Amino acid sequence: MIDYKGLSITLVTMALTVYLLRAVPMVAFKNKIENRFIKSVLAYLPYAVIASMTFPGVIHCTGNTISAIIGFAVAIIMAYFDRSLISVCGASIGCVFLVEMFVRYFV
Amino acid sequence: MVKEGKSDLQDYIRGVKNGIPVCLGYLPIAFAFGVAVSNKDYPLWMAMVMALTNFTGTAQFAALNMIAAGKMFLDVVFTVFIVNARYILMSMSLSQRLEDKVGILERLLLSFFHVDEIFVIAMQEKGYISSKYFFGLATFPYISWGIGTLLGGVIGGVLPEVVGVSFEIALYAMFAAILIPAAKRSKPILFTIAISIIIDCSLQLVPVVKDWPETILILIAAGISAVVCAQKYPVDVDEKEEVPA
Repeated sequence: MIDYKGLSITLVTMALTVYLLRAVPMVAFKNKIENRFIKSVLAYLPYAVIASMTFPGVIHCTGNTISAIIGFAVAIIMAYFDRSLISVCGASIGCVFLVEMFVRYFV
Repeated sequence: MVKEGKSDLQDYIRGVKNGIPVCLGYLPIAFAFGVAVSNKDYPLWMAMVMALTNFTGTAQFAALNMIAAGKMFLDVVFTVFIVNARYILMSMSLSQRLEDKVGILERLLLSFFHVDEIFVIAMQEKGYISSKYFFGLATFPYISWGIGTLLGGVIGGVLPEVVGVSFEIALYAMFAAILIPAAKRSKPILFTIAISIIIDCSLQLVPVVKDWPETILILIAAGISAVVCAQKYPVDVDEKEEVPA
C-alpha cells in the first residue's frame, strides 16, 4: 500500500530542492563578476564538470564494459571528425546495440 | 546587448534548432525513467509529476530508489541536494554569461529548465546568451522529457531490454560530441578535461573517499581542474570569457 500523503509531500520538497539549487545562484550572481581569476574558473568549469561526469562513469553505463568502451570510442572518433551531435549519438547507440546483440546471441 | 540583425524570434528559433539533439537524447533517458517507475509498481502520475517538476535524470533515479526503499522527506531531499549540487556551480557559470538585460523574473523561470545538456550547449554561444535563445534550447527537450516518461510508463514493459541498454550510451556520446571538438580547438580546454578526468579516476582509488557519492567526486575533480587551469591560462577579460585557443 503506497502512502500517498507522504509521497506527495516528498515529491513537492524534492522539486523545491532541485529548483532552489538552480535558481538561487542564478539570481545571486546576477551582476557580472569582474575578477579575472573567478571569470576564468567559471569559463573552464563546464568542460571540467562534463569531463569528470563522462569518465570513468561511461564504462559502467551499459552494464558491459566492452560494449560501453566500443560505443564511446565510436563517439569520440566521430566527434573528432566534427560530425553532428545527432550522428555521433546515433552511431554510438547503434554500435552498443550491435555489440550487445552479438554478446547475447553468439558468445 | 542586441546582436546585429537578430530578433528575439530568430534567437528563439536558433535555440530550438540547437536543442533538437538534446531532445532526441532525452527521449530514451526519460523513457528509462518511466519504465523504472512502473517496474516498481508506482502509478504513472508519479512518474509524470517527478519528471515535469524536477527535469533532472540523476536526481529522479536516485530519489525513486530511495522512495522505493521506504525512505521519504529529508533522506530524499538530502540525496537530491548532494546529487544535484553541481547545479550551484553551473548556475553561477551560466548566470555570468546571460545578457545584462535578463531580469530576475526571467532568471527565476529560466532556472527551472537549467539542465546539464542545455547548459553545455548554451555555453558554446559566442558572447552573451539571450534568454530567448535559452528558452528555445529548453523547449523541445522538456517536451520530450515528458513524452519519454509517459511512453516508458505505458509501454515500457514490452520493449526488449537490449534496446534500453543501448540507449544508456546516448548521454555519454553527447558529452563526447561536446568535449572533443572543444578540446581540439583549445589547448587549455584539453588540459582542463585531462586534469578533471585524472583527478576523478584517482579519487576513485582512495579508500573511504571512493565510497562518497559520485557527484561529490565529480565536483571535487571539476573544481580543482577548473582552478588549476584558470591559474595557468587566464581568460581574456575583454573577450567575454572566451577561452584562449
